[in-house]
Amino acid sequence: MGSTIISGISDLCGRCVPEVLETMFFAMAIENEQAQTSDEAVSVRVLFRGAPSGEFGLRADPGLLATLGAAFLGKFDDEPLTPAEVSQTACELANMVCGSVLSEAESDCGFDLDEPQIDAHAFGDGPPDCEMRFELDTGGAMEIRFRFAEPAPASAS
Amino acid sequence: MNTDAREVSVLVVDDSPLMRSFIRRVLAMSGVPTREVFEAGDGQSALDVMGNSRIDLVLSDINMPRMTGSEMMQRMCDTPELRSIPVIVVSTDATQQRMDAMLRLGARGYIRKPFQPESLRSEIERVLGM
Repeated sequence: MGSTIISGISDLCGRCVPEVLETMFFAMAIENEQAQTSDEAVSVRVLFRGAPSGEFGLRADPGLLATLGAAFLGKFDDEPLTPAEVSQTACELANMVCGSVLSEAESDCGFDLDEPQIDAHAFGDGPPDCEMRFELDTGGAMEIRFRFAEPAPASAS
Repeated sequence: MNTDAREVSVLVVDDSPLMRSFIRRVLAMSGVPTREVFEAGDGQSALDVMGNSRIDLVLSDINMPRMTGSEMMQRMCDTPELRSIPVIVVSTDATQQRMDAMLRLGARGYIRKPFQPESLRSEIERVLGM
């Protein structure tokens, strides 16, 4: 079950991330393994309970998040987003991406999401089961990862 | 389209201030005639608003602190003055299990995030019979 979910999650992420960004944040994204965030990137962790349970992480630079947040809020003037609004943008983006993916991956059993948390260590607790990087047309990169509570089964020999 | 131009008072319930602002903006652009838009960050705050103001429609998230959307809807069902207020759920959770559960609690509509503004308008018009 674990390896099926892992491969399925990658495909779902490849669809859901662009859909969320285009629909709600008016940005285009393409998958790019070379896309890199900076050391100033904001990291968000979302814990979820389902079959399986696990955690989702999202990381993006503050400048990118400010651009996405301005589009989300319809702020077209020169007034910059506050640091709180940048953090809220990251959390809302993580919430929607994680929820969109799990709605399809765990459609048979349901899931529950915890409140997204800004967490500098969201990407530091060991290798993920799925990790993807995206390049956005607004400029900048976004990284996401899923890690599941159940270990992936060993490959058949 | 129904030509009834009755203005409606809408209550937006979501623990994300960004999402409340987004929905408020979508409502303003949607063409749905709104008299006033109220906001609440959780189910209990939403019940307080409903107790103090005339609300014609509730747009509510599910997962919220202090009181979830499910708990809020249960309380609405148990309160004669509130049980007739239509609720449209707005949630990232689009599983059939969740949708069925919310409809059993009395939700009249369901919108999955992410959503196009037109979807919100269509669902509001369908639920309110506009």
